[in-house]
Amino acid sequence: MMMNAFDDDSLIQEFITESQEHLSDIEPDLLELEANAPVVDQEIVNKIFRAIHSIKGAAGFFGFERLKNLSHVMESVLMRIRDKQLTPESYIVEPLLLGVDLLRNMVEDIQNSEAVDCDALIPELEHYVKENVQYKKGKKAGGKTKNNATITTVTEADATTVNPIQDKNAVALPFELNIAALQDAKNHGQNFFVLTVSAEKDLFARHRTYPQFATLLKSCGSLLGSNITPEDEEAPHETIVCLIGTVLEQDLLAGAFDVADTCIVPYVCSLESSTTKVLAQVTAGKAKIEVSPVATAPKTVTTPATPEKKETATAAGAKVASGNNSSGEAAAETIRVRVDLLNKLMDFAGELVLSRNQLIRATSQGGATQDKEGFNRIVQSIDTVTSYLQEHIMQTRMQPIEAVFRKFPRVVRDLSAQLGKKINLEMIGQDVELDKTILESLSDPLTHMIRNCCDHGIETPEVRQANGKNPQGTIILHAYHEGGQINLAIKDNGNGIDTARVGQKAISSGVLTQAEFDAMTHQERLNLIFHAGLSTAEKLSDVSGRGVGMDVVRSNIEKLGGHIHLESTLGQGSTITLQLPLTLAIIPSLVVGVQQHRFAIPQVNLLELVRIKANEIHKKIERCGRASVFRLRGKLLPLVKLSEVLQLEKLYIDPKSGKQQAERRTAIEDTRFQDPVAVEQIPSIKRTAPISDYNILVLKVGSNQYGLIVDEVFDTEEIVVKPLSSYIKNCKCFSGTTIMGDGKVAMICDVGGIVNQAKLNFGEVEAEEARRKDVEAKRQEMASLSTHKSTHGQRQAVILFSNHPDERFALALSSLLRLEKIKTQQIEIVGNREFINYRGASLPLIRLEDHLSVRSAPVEAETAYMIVPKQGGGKAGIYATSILDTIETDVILDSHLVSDNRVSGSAVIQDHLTLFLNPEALLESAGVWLEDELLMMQPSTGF
Amino acid sequence: MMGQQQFVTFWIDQYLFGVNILEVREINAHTDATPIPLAQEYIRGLINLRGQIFTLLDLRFLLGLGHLEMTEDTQNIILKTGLDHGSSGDNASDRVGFMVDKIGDIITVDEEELEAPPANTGDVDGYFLSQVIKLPTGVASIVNIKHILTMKEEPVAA
Repeated sequence: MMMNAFDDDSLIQEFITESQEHLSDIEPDLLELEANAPVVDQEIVNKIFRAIHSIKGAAGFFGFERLKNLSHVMESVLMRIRDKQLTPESYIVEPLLLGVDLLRNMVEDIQNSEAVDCDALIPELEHYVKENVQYKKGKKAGGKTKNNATITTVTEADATTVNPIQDKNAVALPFELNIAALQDAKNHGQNFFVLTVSAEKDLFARHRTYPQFATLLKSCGSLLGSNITPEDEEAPHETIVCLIGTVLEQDLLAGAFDVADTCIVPYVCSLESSTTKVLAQVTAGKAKIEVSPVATAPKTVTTPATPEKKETATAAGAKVASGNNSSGEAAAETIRVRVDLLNKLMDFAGELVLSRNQLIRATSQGGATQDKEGFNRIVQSIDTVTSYLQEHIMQTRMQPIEAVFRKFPRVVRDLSAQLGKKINLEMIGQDVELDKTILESLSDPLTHMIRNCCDHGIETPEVRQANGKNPQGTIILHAYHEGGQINLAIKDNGNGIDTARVGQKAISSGVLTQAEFDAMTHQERLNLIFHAGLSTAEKLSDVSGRGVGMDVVRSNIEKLGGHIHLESTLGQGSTITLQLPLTLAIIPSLVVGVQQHRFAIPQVNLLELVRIKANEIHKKIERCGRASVFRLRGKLLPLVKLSEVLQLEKLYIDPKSGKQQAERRTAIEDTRFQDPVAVEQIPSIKRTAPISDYNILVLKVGSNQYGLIVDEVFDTEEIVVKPLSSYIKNCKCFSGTTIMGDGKVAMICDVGGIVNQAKLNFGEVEAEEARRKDVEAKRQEMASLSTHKSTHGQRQAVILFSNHPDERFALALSSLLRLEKIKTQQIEIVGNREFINYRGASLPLIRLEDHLSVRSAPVEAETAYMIVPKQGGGKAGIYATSILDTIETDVILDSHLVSDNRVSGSAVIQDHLTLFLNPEALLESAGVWLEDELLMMQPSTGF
Repeated sequence: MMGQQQFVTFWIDQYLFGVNILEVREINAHTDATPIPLAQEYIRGLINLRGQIFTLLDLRFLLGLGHLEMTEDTQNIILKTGLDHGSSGDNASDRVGFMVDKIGDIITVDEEELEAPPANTGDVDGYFLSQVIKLPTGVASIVNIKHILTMKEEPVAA
């Protein structure tokens, strides 16, 4: 029975998913049509047409009347566009877009789709279908009058079931209807169809008589009326029209009766008015039948539902009874996966089973000790299969970001029309893939920011022109991969953010004082827009400007484990960059230990690890007020102890008893020792923490850094993120939990949450950063002014090394392929040349003293270093006794000290004269031929 | 005909408590729960049960009887949650259980043996009790599982 089809949730769910896909495809296509008007791209029109048509078809199948009706008129409009009777100008695309919105609303809440109000839109669209003249913009179509007749047939109880169908050229069913039979058929869940067959073509040409045909009809359902009596042997009419009630589908009927599809049209009727003549009208190959009112007396049936509607209603009703009243139970989400990917997954699963079988056999055959070699192999294969599986299953969750981007052309189009601006939206990198969950929660923040760009960012065409800009503003949405993360940039060439105005607003609303504002850097002032409750819009618009926005956006992005960064230049535009993790489900992380606890720190936040030996802590860690800081390459890094932040009980090992006891002292760094020798002697009698060395994790939060002190650093591990129990509250230091290899649960630290818990105030750090940059910039400026012959201005990283301890050499880090520690006894001498066995090949070793007028290396120590330059393709190494440092420098090379082309210049670095080598010339003179392709490459001067 | 109900009984302090057996998913002795720093006092930690993470509560603390001391007899009663009743949605983080001093017997009682908790529950917080069973040897208080399961929604109950 058909009822079953309605009850079948999975079918409806499929329909919803499909329709949503169609709808999201339609929108950009419509926009493209509009943009290209009056030229009509048939391809696109057909695409939209097909999409709408399939929605209509399915909606009809499930009996979602409104959905069907709306898609039907939309389809008709599109048909006229296709037939070039209409051009897709804005005023036509507009209602179509509205229609798409309504369809989407209906589809999203399918059980309540009948309640969606599309009474205004359908007549408007219908006008475009009917009228031969094109409507002038702004002229509203008033299709109401047409439906008046129908409306009167409907009781007040449900005015929404009106079928807005034209009765102009409607055709009457040429027979009276038997209400009782209709009612009865309806009660049996039958659908009604009007069958219009030609006696000549459909009956006699196929050697059927009418009675035979009637029997055929009755075998499939009930014959409710016909323009001929079954007794008529000779059909008195050329066309036979009959009304049948059946539970079969329309396309099945056509097959069963052996007539063309077009002969059968669904019949919709309201029983209240069924004493009347039935009018039928055929539009666009699809018939609508309307009941015109003669008697309006409502029957006992309170809901004047059509048969199909009634069925939907009961289906929905059943749901309401079983589930909840308001929204209906949310059906399980579905995702589309490529079949080839699925096949691969299946293959891996098969392999996994194989490995498991091997494992079982290996363990059952006299224990695992027997064949360690074979056991290792199995472990290895399980390892590989697992990572493949993980990788590919991950892929099934990955979706192109296009799914989110897709809606923005529409948003921008609508907003620019609403705001009277000209805005062009460019989207780059739509195929970048992101985890589904991230993608979904990205939609709202992005929409908000796009709206902001349109409303606040881009100026009106007049203003833009006055400022000498292109009247059309541009917003660029750019998604790209960077360092295992996804970056999303929203860039506009509008007015930028007026920090002065933001400041005024902030001061007037009491967020901060004038003095505080004056002390702020540009970046800090910009970041004020993330402050809750601030809005800079002069007046509220319905687009944006209520001041609840960017703070929500920021917190949403941070919830996803992402970061948001804002750049803006007044008058030139703004760029907002979002950094997002690829996925949330499995992340690489560093496992650290604090006392007996273990925690996982997400790798994305980790910049580097610094270890400070216990006896150096006092020297290296300094105190600034109550805070500990560490000088990391000249910059102060605020230090936070994880154990303190988490208020873990401090323990130390008592030197006398060897037991762990609660530590009562704070700030061990306080006890400073001036004499390092003394410090080294003391530890034996000093009480120590379980692990005395300081392990500092340098973490980044946005653009800020801090050092987190932990007791132990274990390993990096890919961890499966599990959500934090909802019983745990106010625990901002953790973002989730995971299960470690030993089966125990570990918490995943939230690097940003620790900042808040530890009450780090990064505002000051940022200011300091900015100040430092300023100083740097000034210094550079001075330098470039004072040196007239400045040839190389840019900074370059170099490696400093020595051959003879008193002589220093430098080589650009960029020209370095590899740096290896070698044992001097491994050096082999052939003739007067030296070689070293390196990765299975003999690498000639170049000694600087053989080629340059420098002192030779001292008597060989046990180990030395080999520097392999990129030039020469790693075919030779330069001998060095010690590696001193790698530094960033922008020194200007002085070339008049050396005349050798193997040295590109000299400079004083760290108070020492340093020779900068030219590796290319050096290798050449050492007889190492450069390969052709390497010569073709941009010759690197290496100073 | 009176219906019968089965209860898992357990000891906290010197008191006997019970939970309806239909509310219990399993009983185990995982004592190596991972504590959660900075969490509420009544949260004992997290345990891994076959790949799923459960939150362990300190029922003793919730009942106002002080913190539970781990002994050999300490056991966890893992409760069924919405997940086990087949409801959908991603409430995987709601899996919960509680620690008890000692597990008692499983008892079958007639419904007429059940009574509303007395007004004077004394040093035991009555909020988490739903009924008492009159046993020949004394009374056993039935823990109100609903109040435990809904604790995640309330500000802070204890």
